[in-house]
Amino acid sequence: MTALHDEVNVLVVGAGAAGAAFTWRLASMGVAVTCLEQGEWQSPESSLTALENWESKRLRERSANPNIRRNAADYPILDDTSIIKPAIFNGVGGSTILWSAHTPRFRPSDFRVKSLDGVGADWPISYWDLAEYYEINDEIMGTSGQHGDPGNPPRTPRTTPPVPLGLAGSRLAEALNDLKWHWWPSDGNILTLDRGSRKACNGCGPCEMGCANGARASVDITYWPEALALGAELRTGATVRRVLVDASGRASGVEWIDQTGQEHVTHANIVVMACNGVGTPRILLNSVSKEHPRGLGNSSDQLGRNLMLHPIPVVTGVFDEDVQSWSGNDAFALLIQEFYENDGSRDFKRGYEMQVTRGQGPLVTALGGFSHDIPWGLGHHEAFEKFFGHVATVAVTCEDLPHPNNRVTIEPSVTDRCGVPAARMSYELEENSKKMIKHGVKSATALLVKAGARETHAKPFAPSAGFHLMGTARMGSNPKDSFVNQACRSHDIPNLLIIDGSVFASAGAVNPTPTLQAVALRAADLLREDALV
Amino acid sequence: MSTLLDRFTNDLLPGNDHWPAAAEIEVGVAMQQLASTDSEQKSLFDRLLDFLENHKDRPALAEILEVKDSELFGFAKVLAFEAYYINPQVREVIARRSMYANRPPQPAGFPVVTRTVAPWNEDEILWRSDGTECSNEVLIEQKKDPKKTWTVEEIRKWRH
Repeated sequence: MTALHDEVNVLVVGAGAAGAAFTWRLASMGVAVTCLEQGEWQSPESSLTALENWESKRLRERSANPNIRRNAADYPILDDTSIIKPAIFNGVGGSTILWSAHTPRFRPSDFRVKSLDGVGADWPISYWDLAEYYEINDEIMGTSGQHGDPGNPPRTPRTTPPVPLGLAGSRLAEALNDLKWHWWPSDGNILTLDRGSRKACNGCGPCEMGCANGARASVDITYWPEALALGAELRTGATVRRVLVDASGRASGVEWIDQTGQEHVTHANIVVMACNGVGTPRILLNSVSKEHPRGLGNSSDQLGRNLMLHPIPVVTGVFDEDVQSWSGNDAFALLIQEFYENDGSRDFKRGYEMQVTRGQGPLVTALGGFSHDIPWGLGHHEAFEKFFGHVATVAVTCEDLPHPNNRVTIEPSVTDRCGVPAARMSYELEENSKKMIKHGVKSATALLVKAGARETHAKPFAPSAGFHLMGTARMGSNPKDSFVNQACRSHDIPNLLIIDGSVFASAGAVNPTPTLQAVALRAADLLREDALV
Repeated sequence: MSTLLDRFTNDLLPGNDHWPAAAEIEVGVAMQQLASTDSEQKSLFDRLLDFLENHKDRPALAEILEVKDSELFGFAKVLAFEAYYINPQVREVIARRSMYANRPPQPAGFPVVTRTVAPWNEDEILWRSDGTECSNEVLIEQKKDPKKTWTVEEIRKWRH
C-alpha cells in the first residue's frame, strides 16, 4: 500500500494532558500545530455513571488497565515483569479521562534531590521556572482549593473553594489537628461552582469514570476546545508507528496508520512526543535505524530507563459511624505533607504525601475496596455491612527514586492493532521504597486510629496504581545520563521534543499531572523564545 | 448446568434473613451474560462450567475450585460478585440496611455531608528552600505574611 504524504509545521503526538497544553500554548501564539491521537473523543454526555450497572462498566470499559479494558485504541503493555500494573487511557484527553483530578504541585526540593539529599538526579530547571506555568495551567483547567498552604510556596487564589471534606474527611482533619500534622485543603481540578458550560461538582463519587457535568476537568473539555478554536488541528484514530529522521539527522515527521489501515507519512519541522512515560519510549524505541540502533536519539541508552511509578501503600480504617463513604469525590480535599521532606533521622531518603480517599460503591466494596478483604460464603454479608459506607482510606504516595533497571522496553512478539510492537514494563521496589512504605503505613494507621477507626487494614502497595508514569526520557544537563535538555529537546535530535512525564528527573511524592502540564507549557514558550516556531 | 452454577454461587453468596441467596436472583444466568461480552471471559466461563461438571458429585464446589485452581476461582468469584451486586434486588437490600441512596451516581449526584474544619497550622511555613536566591526570598516573604494574596504578575518574576 502506498503511504499518503502531507506536511505540517509542528506535529504533536498524543492528545492527553501534556499534548493538549502544549498545542494550546503554541496555537495561542498563532503557530500552526497539528496533533495526532490514536484514540477518539469521549462523550461526557453519555457518562457511564448514569447507568444502573455503572459499577460493572467501571470494571470493564472504564478499567484503568489497558490490558483489561482492551479498547480499540489501546496498545498492549506487557506487565508480568512489573509489580505495579499500568493505568492509562488512550483517547482525546488521555489519562485525564480517568483521573481523580487531585492536583498538588511539586515542591522546590523535588527538583534538587541529588544536590540536597544525595539521591536520584537533579532537574536542570527549578520550581521557580515552572511557577507561572502552574498558574496558567490552574486557570485553564479550573482549580478548586484554598491558597495560603504553609507547606508550599505561595500561589494565587484558587478558581473555586475546595471540595467538601465529607464526614470521614472531617474526622481525619480533626485528627490531624490533634496530631499537629500538616494538612491543607488540596488543589483539585474539580469545580465547586459553575464556570461557563462546566457545572459544579454534585458529589456523585466515581470521578475516575468520567464526569458527566464537566465539574472534574479533563483536557478534552478544557485545553482542546480552546486550542481548536485558535486554529490547531487534531486528527483522531491516528496510530503513530515511528518517528522519521532525514539525512541531516533531524526529525522529519512520523509514519502513522489511520483506522482504515491506510498508511500516512506526515512531514514536520518539529516533532513533539506526548504519549506518557510508556507510550513515548515505546514509539522512540520502535524508531530504530542504522544511525539509531538503540532507538531514536538514544545514544545515552537512557531511553526507557529510570521508570518511576510512585509506590502507593493504602490503609483503610473502619468506623462505627456510617460516614456515607460511597459519596463525595474520590480524593477528599486533604493534602497531608507532614512527612514530605527528607529527614535524616529516618532510615530512608526523601519522603511521602498522604491523601485521603473515600470508600467505594457496593460492588467494589464487596471485592475488597482498596485494602480490606471480605470473605465469600457464610460471613460475607456481615462483613460487607461492616465496611460499606463506614470506611476511609489513606493512600500514601511514596517518592520513587530512579533506577536504570526499572524500565520500558519493546516486546516485538506482541503487537497492537496496527502491527506496532508492544511495550513491556519492568519494575521492582527498591530498598528505599520498602522502608518508606513501612513508615507510611505506620503513619496512615496512626492517623486513622486517631480519627476513631476501630480497625485498620493495610496493603503495602496498590498493584493497580501504575498511573504516574515518569522518568523514561529524563531531562538533564549531561547528554550522557539524560535524554532531553532543559527545554525538553532531545540531546541528539534538537527538533525532537518530549513533553510528558517521561522527562521527569525525579518523581516527587505528588500526582504529576500539573507539573507535566507546566513543563509542556514552558517547552512551548521556549520554542517561541528561541525563534524555532 | 444451572443447578451446578446455582450450587457454586450459593456457596459464594448464601442467603440469610435479609439477603437473597445468589441462586434466588439467578446470578448464574447473569454471569453467563456478562462473560459473553468478552472472548477471554467466555473461555474462562466455559472452563468454569467444565470444572463444575467434572466435580458435580462433590459438595462444597467453591471450596474445591479455590484449592484446585485459584486463578479460575478468582475469575469466577469476581464475576459472581459483579452479577450479584448489580442486581436491583440486592441494591434495595443495601439501601434498606444502610444510608445508601439506591440510584446511579449521575445525573443527580449525592449531597456531601461534611463539617467545617480549619487546619491548625496556618502560619507555620513548612516547605524547604532549594538553596536558590529566589527560594530564600520567597520563604522570607511568605513567613512575614502567610495569608498574603499573590498575583500572577508577582509569581512570573520568579522565573529565572
